[in-house]
Amino acid sequence: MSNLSKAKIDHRRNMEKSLVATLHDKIDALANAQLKEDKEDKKSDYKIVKEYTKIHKKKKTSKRSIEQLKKEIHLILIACDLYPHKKNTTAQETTREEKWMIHLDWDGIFRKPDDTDFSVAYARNRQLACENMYMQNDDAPVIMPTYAPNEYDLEQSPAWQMMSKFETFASCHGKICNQMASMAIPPEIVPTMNFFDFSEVLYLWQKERKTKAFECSRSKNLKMFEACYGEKFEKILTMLRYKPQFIQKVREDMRRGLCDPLFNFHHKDNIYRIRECKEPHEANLFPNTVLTFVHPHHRCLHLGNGYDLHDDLAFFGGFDPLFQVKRDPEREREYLISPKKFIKKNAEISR
Amino acid sequence: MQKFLDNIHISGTAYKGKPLDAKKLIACQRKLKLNNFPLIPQEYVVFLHKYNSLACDGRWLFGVCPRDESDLDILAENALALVTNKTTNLVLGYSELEYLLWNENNGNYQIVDKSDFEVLKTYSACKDALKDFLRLDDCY
Repeated sequence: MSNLSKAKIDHRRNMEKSLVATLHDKIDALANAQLKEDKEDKKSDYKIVKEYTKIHKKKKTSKRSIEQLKKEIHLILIACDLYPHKKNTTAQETTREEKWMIHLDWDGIFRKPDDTDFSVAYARNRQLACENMYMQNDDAPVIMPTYAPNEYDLEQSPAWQMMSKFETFASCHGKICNQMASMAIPPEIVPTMNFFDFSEVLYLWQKERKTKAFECSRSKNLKMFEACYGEKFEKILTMLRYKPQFIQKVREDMRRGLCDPLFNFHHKDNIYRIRECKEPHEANLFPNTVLTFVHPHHRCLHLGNGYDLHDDLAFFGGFDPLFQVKRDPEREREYLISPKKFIKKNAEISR
Repeated sequence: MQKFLDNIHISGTAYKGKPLDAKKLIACQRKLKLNNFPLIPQEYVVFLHKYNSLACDGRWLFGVCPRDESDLDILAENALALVTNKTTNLVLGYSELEYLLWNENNGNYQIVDKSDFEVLKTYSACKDALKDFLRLDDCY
C-alpha cells in the first residue's frame, strides 16, 4: 500500500468509486424494475410526487431487464473475485435453540420464547418460587427450601454444555447460579433445563440488577476491530477521501462498541448454515465477521444465495484489494490475551 | 407513540431522516398498493412523520424516499427483500440477523429471523416493536 505512488492510488480509487457507483445504480435499477409504474403520478401537479416518481422510474420495467440486471451484477461480482455461495446439502441446519443462542450472543437482546419452550420442571419451579410455601401431598404446608449458588452444577445440563461454548454465556456461570439460588430453583432439575430456561434466568439477573449481564459479541468485535485494525481502516478511508473528522468519529464510536450507519458487520458464514464449515458457537466470533460498507457492498454479499468472501478479510472496504484489510491472527491473539495491555502498547507505538 | 418518539434517544452515531412530507407518503402508499404490498400501517406513519427513516448501530428503519435515493426507501427495500408472502408482509427495517415486518393479515408487528423467517417476537403496538428492534429496552 505504502509503495504505491499517489497517482496510482488516485487511479485505483477512481476505478473503485466508479465500480461502486455502477453496482449502486444496478441494484437500484433492479429494485425499480420489479415495481409497477403508477400512471396517475405523471398527471400529478405536486412537484414532490413528480420527484418521487422520477426516482422510481430510472429503468423500464420488464421481466427481461430484471434477469439482465441480475446477470450483470453477478458478472461484475465474479470479476471482483466474489463467487456465489454453493450450498453443502449434507450439512445439518442450525437448530432453533442454537439459532436463539446465536441471536442472543450477537445482539444481547433477550426475547421471550413461547411458554412451551421452557422445560416442564423449570416452568413448574419458576411458579413455585413465587410462593413462600407449598403444599405437599398430605396437605402439610412446607416452607420453600433455600439453596446456595455452589449447589448448582450446570455442567449436568446438555443445553448448558452447548451454551458454555459461547464465551459470553460461559462468563455468566456465576450469575446464573446466583440467580437460580435466589429463585430457589432446585439443583436437581439442572440436567433437564434447556437454553430458554437459562436465558430467562440470565434475563431476570439482568432485570433485578439493572445492568447488562454480558457484553454482546457485536460490540466486542467492533472494539477488537478498532484495536487491531483501526489504523489500517483509517488509511483506507483516507484513501477513499472520507473527511478526517468523520473517520475519527467512526473510530471513537467503535471504541465504545458502536457502529456508524455507513458500515455493518457481515457474517461470512450464514448462521443458518453455519455447520457447513463451523460450529454454532463460532458464528459470532471475530474471524467469521467482516466489517463492510452497507451499500452496495453488504447488499451484494446477500444477493441470491449470497456471495462468499475470503476467510482472511477483516474489512471489506472495496472490491479492489487495496481497500481491504486482511486479518492478522497473531495480532488478534495478542489482543484477546489482554485487550487493555494491547491497546496501551499500540498507543505507545503510535506516539 | 408520540411520547415514545419525543423521548427516543439513540446512542452513538445515528442517521435520523427529516419528517415525512404527506404528499410523498400518498405517492408511496399508492405505489405499494399498485405492487400488491401491504400499506404502511398508521402507527408507523406517525413514526415517519417524526423520523423519515432511521439508522443506528447496525439497525435500519425504512422511510419514504428519505434521501432522494433508494437506500432506506421502503418501496425499493421491499422490492429487493427476500421475504416470503410479500402481499401480507411489509418490511419496515432490518439488521444483520433480523427483519422487522408489518403483517397486514394479523395486524401485528413481527421480528423475524432473516434466514428462515421464524417469528422471534410479535407485537401489537408499533412502539413496543420499535423499542425491541432498536434495542431501547431489555425486552422480554
